[in-house]
Amino acid sequence: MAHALKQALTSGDENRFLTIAVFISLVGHALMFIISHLLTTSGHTLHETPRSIDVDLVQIEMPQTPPVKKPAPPKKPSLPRVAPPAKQANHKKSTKRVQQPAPKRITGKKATKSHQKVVTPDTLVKSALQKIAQETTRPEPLADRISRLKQEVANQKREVSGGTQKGAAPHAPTPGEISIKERYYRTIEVIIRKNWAFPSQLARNNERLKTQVMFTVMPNGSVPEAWVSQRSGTANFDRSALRAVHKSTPLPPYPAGINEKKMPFVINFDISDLL
Amino acid sequence: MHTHPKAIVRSLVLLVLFVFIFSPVQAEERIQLRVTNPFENKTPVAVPAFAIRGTSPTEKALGQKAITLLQETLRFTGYFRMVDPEAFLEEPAKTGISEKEIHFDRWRSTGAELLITGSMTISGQSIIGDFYLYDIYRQKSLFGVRFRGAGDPSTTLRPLILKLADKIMVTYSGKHGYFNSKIAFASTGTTGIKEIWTCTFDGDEPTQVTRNAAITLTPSWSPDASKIAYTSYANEKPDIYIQKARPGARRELVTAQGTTNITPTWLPDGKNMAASLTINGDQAIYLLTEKGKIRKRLTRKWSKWGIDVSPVFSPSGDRMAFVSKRSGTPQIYVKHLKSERIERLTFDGRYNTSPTWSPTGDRIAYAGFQEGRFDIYVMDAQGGRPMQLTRDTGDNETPSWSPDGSLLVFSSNRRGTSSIYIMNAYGTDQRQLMSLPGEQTAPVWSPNLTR
Repeated sequence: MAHALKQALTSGDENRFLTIAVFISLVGHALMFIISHLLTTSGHTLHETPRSIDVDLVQIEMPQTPPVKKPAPPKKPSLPRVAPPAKQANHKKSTKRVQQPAPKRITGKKATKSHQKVVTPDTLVKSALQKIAQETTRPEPLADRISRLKQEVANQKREVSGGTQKGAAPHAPTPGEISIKERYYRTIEVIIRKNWAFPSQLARNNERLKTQVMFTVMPNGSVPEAWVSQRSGTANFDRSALRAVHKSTPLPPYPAGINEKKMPFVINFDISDLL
Repeated sequence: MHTHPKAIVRSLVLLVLFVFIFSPVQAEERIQLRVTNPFENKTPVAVPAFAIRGTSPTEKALGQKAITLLQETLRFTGYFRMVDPEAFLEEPAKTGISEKEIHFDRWRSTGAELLITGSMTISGQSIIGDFYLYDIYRQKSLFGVRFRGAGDPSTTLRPLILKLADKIMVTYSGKHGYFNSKIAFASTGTTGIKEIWTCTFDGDEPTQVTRNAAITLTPSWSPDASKIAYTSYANEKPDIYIQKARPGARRELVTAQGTTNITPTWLPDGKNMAASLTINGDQAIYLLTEKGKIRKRLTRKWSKWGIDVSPVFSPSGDRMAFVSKRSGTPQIYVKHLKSERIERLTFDGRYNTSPTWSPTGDRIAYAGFQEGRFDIYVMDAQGGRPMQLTRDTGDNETPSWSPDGSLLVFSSNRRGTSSIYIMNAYGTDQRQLMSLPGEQTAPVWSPNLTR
């Protein structure tokens, strides 16, 4: 493609070049949309849920079910959250959740088309509500980091999906798995920050003080090596950041649900205004 | 001109393509984490006992004194936290102080990041000290030095340990400490008459320097820290004197011309001075020689309230800050000596006084009167918003910077009588420097003497 572009550039046929460029950009955008829709299962299901909720509300005459279920969803996903040691269980549950609605959704559609089947839309709503709750509760415990989180989650989704394509893993990247990873990242951040000692008054004259340390975490939590990848210009500051990483090793081993062979990290250390 | 926009479009398209092609790859490479603000604000240091070669109890006591002094000095900087010796698993005094003999793994478990070991050979007439600074996590020596102190060990110990502390500071922060500096201040002592005193940077060895038996105020250090200029009422009216910075030195009158001669200061060249003199009823700032000869008038009469006092020169000597009542209330002004331009620096409050330059010349600390009391403020020497460093703690006045700019000394009456206090240049870690009889005011930090 690059070769064709070069040819177009050198030939001087600007119109042709422009059409090629526009075409490429259009194709790229289309690909992006398709890929993102294919890969983000949560977005896919979310799109369908509101319709089925409407159906449910119109058709079912059981007055108990909606009020019972509505308060329920926030509790259900919060349960595994409360007990983080039971990560494996959490992980299994989440995969089930995804697998369940898939076949039932089809029957649900059938049901709405042919005749009223009370059971299927009910379970459908249940799973849909669960999903919604999952979507909504996920950022809650990390409310202060929402914006950054979003970006990272997006990155992860790509990453995890890449992994499944290669290794043909039995499951898609579930929200549960993403949150396991997220939690692990936050744990690493907290541990390293706790081990970071630096007199910030030494940095106050230089408010843009920033340093970057790279390291790789193995499944058992060991860190084979760490190095300063971007210096701040203040040697003392760089050393303190590197020491914080060294001090934090070994890090906790991967929680169940992370199947990576190793995880490369880059960590940014900075000081924001304390006053 | 015709092809220009097309070229832009072309490069834009290419750019967009490149972004599309490469950005996802970059994002996948490494997981980005971010840590903002260290959890601990001080570097933890382990300072185990030195190995003492010498058997007498006095030598052993000196070894203990050395450790205490080093720990206190490092703590004083505000950069270090001493790790509890209870956590030590090793005694370098017994097992060895050199790199080969240190088990870094054992020191890791103490939580310390730095380790200082040393041995001292104390004899009747000298001390020889070997000292090491280790980075525990890099398992590596940062320096190893040998210091010799000739003379009575009880007097050479302090300079030797302060030299070690300075070596640690330079290695740690890249900057010299201020361990050879002093602080001059006015104290009423037991007589009730204000005289000039000095003490070491850490409040040790308070010494009365002047014995004028008359009110003596506003000390100012010469740039080589050998002399102090001050205002004294020794001859009925306030006049400016210079005296060697040691007790019993003879005072020398700088100027008797004028009725009210106050607030002397030195120029960075150490030869010229400036002070506020009242000549013909007009109080203005003059440039003087050490002998009191007027070289130049530095401030003009601005209005009938135009009283100009408290000159201080920037470290490079290109600017002079002073206090003037020209606008009706005392405010701080800066005069650019080359262009003769004068700009007003403070606008908040009705009384701003005691300006003092940071050693880098970029900031000015001063005392401002607001809400019924004086507090210390710092602002950019170019002007801008002042940062308040003290609040709700009585009157806080006359700030002065440490030679490295990391600390401020000031006077405060927060515990009743006025005394000397220290804080870091951002207002934290405020503490009393020492406790003396009487009232202490107007502290001024000397330059750091490097011999």
